[in-house]
Amino acid sequence: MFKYRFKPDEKQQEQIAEFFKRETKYFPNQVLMKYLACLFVGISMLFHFVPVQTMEEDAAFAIGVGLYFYCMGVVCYATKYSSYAEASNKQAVRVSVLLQYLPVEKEQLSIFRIRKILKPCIIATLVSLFFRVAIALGYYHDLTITDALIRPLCMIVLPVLLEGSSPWGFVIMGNKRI
Amino acid sequence: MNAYCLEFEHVSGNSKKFHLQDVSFSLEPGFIYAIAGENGAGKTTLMKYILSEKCLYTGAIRFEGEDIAGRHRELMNAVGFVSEDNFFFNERTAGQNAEILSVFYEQFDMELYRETMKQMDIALGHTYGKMSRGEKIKMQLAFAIAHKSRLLLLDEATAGLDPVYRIELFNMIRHMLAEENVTVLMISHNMNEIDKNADYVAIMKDGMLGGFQENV
Repeated sequence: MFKYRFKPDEKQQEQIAEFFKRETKYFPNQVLMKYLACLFVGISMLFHFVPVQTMEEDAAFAIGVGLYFYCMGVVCYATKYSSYAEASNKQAVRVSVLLQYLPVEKEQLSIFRIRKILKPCIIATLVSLFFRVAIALGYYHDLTITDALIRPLCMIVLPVLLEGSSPWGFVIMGNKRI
Repeated sequence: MNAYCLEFEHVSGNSKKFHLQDVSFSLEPGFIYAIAGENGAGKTTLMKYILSEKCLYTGAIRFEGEDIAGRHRELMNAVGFVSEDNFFFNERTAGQNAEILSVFYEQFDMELYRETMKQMDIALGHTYGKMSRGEKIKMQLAFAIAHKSRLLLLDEATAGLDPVYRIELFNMIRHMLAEENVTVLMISHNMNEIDKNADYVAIMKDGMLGGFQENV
């Protein structure tokens, strides 16, 4: 039975990085995806800046919607590392499928994608945390555990789980695997 | 060093369409082995078991004496796969394809790739997507030679090729066998082609494989 061990192999990570560096034609729709990523993360920030006290009974729903848009944004951002399409053939192929007959491990591709999203995710989390804490302390003089810990944790853990487990970018592209 | 390049030991498995039943064989280096059989007999499934990162079977598959389970990267460094299913960038030239994809190989010899392509009369500047099927297959073979494959898998590689391409392709494979310690496993439903080119032949039917017999 195949199991993910999630142990990074630095040599393979360098090979994957070099591969994406050399294939500069990679994924023609990535500009669109970058804009979508910015749009989704931007929308999510409207929800993430707001502390729980402001939302009252709608807090769970608002946090959920914010996280949904945020994860969509992260997945769009990472699509160039998970999905490939040629200009002449719009049907996308998963990168892991594309490289299946080469000396590349799917686990290492997942780790590579996770590493790529981790830095932007941490930055977005810190920015939203700063504003949320500032608003919560400035206006309400109170900081909830949800605001200070659970939401930041979700903003890092959820995208990592998404990118590490399934080709969600592929689902967003609406294409089939070969 | 192990006497066998590839060994199947009681390999069985089920997929949606095909199933393999207790397949066992051993391949020695330096020969062309062919598996013949009708469409749907399980030939491609057998090859997928070698190539897949996931262990989709029960039993054991060994490459040069070691179980291939969990050694996908090591195995693919030593395996050349020539098939219509193999992926290369359609919008890139033969040279660019090799430059991009060679990053994953431990010992990819770009000079050897250039030489082989020249011998096969395919320009490195030729775009992969615009190549004929025969040229694509030859390019894949050149790629497999360049990364020093020790096991070459041909999945219906010559289907639909004209006779000239077939002869050139097998001449190249024979040359490869003479120079390096390579094993070739080809699957085909063309018995005429197998008769002409394979050293050992086995027949596959309904997921069961008969033993390899010398092709006389």
